[in-house]
Amino acid sequence: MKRVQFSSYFTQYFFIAPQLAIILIFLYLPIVQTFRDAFTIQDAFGFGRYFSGLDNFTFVLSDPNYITALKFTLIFIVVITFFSCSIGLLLAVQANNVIHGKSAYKTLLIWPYAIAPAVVGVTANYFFSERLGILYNFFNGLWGFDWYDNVYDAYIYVFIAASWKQISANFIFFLAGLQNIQKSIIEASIIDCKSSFRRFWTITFPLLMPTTFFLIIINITYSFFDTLGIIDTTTIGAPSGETKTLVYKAYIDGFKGLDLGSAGAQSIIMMLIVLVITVFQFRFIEGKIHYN
Amino acid sequence: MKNLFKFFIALVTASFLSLPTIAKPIELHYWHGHTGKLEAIINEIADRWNASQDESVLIPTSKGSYEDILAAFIAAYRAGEHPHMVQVYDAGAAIMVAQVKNGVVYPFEDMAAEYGVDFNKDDYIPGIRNFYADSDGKMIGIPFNSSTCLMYANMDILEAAGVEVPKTYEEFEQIAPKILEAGYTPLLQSHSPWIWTENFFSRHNLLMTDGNNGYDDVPTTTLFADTPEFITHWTKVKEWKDKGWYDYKGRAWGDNQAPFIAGEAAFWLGSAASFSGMKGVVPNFTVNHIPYWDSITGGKEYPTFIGGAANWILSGKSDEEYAALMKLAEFMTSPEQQLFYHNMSGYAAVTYSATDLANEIGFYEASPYHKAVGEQLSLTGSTIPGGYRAGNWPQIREVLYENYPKMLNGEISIEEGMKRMDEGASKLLAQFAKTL
Amino acid sequence: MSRIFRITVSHSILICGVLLMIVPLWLVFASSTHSNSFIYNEGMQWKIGGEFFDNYDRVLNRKGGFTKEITASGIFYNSFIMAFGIASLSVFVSMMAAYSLVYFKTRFSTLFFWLIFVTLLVPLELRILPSYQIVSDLNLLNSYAGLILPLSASAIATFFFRQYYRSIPEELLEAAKLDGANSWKFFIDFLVPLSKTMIAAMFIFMFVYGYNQYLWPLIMTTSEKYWTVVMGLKMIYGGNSVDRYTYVILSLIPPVIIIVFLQRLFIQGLFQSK
Repeated sequence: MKRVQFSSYFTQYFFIAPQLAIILIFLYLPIVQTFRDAFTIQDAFGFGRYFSGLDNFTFVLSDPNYITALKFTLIFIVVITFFSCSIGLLLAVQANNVIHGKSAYKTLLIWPYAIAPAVVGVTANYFFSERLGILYNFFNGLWGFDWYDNVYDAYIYVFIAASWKQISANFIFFLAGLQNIQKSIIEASIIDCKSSFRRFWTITFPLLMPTTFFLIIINITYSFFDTLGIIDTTTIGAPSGETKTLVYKAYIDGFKGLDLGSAGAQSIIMMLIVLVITVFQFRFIEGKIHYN
Repeated sequence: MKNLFKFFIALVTASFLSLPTIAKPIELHYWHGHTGKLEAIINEIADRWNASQDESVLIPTSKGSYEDILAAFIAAYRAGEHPHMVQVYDAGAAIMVAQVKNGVVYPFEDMAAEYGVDFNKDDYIPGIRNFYADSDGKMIGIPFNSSTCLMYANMDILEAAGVEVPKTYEEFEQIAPKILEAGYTPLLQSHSPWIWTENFFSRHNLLMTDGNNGYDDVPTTTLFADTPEFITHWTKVKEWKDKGWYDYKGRAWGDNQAPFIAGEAAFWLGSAASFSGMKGVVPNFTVNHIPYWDSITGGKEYPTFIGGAANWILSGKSDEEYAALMKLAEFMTSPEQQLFYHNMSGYAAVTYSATDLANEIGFYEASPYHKAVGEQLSLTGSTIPGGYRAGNWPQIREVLYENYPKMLNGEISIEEGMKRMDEGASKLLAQFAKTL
Repeated sequence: MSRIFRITVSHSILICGVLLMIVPLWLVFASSTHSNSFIYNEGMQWKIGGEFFDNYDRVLNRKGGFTKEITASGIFYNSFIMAFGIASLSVFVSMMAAYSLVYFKTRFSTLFFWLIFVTLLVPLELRILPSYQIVSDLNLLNSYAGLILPLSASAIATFFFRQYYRSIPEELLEAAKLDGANSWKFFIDFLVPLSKTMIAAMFIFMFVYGYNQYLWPLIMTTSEKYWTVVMGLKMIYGGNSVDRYTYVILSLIPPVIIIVFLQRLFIQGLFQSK
């Protein structure tokens, strides 16, 4: 917090009021409703409603498919974050190095960021459909790739579809982070350390830490939530539910299957998971990283 | 900043000003789950209705898919913003029939008794009528787009392989090697829960759930693992897949249909309504009854369940609106409109007067494609009910979808898969029973 | 290692990256210029075909829906309004909220921050049915405001502005106070002009987010008048025809233009916050 501050309560509340009003009406009211749903049994229309304690939670957690989805989601988050971050970082470092064609590279690498997940999924589908899909046939020729049947092949399909667009997002943020590092620090380090590879890992990368941690949050929320449109337009959970993320499962059970109790319980479990991850991240960022 | 603020204010005011106002003719809102060609046909029916009279205006709105529409209209109902009539599919029938007692759904038969002019219950083909009726046989939904699963055959491939269209799965097993030899995929199928589960049971006159398919009692379990015939069928399907006689392309409907459209597969099991999209695209195809196991039925052919969807009237509207709706329902089920719909979409005609009219004008001679659906649905002799009343069925289908691929790729045995499907279904049925 | 070698490696890696991003969409684009049956039988194409004008003309001008008034251009307009509304509104309120969080002493700051931050955990997909009910209670179904408001509560934007304000040197406020600026004047005359690039960056960020929404417009609009781009992908161009390739390409144009032309501001804005 700032040492020098204003102390007018009225102005303070006035400025925060619009945001609070929007989130209270459009977020907290629905969340309260979600909590009520999670502890009640009711039909889709809201009839036959009664308090059921933790029944919905035991119902969800005793479902082996839920555990499958949980495991997949965790793998999914790690893989997407790892690949899109590392490729994004690699490209950002190179783009920061070169002098000629810098802005052309930037433009060409940034634009997929704007594509809707559902559109990415539809496009990926063109490449992975069994009939005439270029990547399907290519991988099929290599090792008999068949995502309709094989869990790991289905993983490959969704991992590629979901990481692709996210590379752009990571590229943008890393590039911004790199440009922020003062030239003088890098120049000074050139004298001390000749190997550019070592220089990157000992000097540049630690300075990128705030960016990296921020990106981890961005990538986690992306792979957790935003990929719904991708799953829905690619594998739909193929081969047999192994590529459903938790959000997709909540969407299928709650929205398409009309079980509000189960959906409510699933939402709360998800909130807890993301909450734990982000609180951990925040402690880390706020505690260990110093902004200049 | 000031401009942004003004913009925001303008947006909010604009939204309040643009509230719907009540126009002179009665507006009848109809939400459905069709897109593409099938949506265009519904729009055409609405145009015809709107041109035929000026008392009411029918406004159809597509909500995407059958699942999307169910969720969308329930959300709207809970908010009191529901349309007059909504299209709900077969798997949602139990949910809708159960909502009569809560006053959500206005039974078609009650509306007909109150406002009807030409309503004749006996004119509706029994198999179609009973699927969307309650256990006393009272019609709740208005039969509309009634399909069933059928077998499409590519006649050019059959000729190349020198074989005929099979009537039974035994015959299919005879000819499959020849088709494979000729370089084609023998068989594809687009919806395992619907075609090779629900309709497997009806096609072989077997009960699918306890409680007499839910017509007598609220069902507590499915009978997959307890039905040896069903286990045999899937054991065979797995064998076929291993031999290359059948190919599984995931759960997306279109992915399984695509090789047939491209002329790479001899047979495809799909819906009667798939006809509209294939006519003129696939050169030389026929539409046939779905095969059955001769060894199970002893040579007898039983009807399949009705598929597709029905239209359901929702409560909370005015007398004038229901009177107009009833007239609309009579218009939509009039022989002329049905024949139009039957012809354009491939869906079955739902009344005898429509099939009579079709016969009278020699429709089936001109278009033999359309014959199979009606024939298969009007087969008789079943001792099981003409449908199933099981709640949470959309989710139970999901359970089936999650187990079939595992059985097909050998991850679990057929018996184990059946057991898991029964367990999953029982849990969901119990969950639904709690809300009754 | 020689400098030339390093530069060559850098360029090769970048060219690979660019190809990775360009080639998939190039294939979609090239395919969208062929005839329907050709694509159906042959799959995606590398070379441009001869149907470019026919396909794009047909998709842009085809009238869909029951009213026959829905065209692709109308759909793009709706998405644009929705995205623009979400972007402006969320930037506006986030900026104010962040100001309040950073520049005022209060016991509630931490509580407010967490209240806002927690919203990151509850995306619309998880609260869609209750949200529908609330929007309906407010009489906002079938309106742009209904499309915009529930998606405008952006914790991300608030988070960015907060980080940015915290990185602004204390001296600025001290100097402003010496000049006799009160909290309003400081915000309008000092912070807002200073945050220009940040505003642009967040605007782009939220614009893309709003433009790409799918489920919410599907649920809350019953009038075809409000169909949006991603909905159109399902409602009109769901089939596997060449029109869909064409539509995919068309749907990319508005957000990609924004990104490409405003990328300098976007990157600068993001970098200020760090």
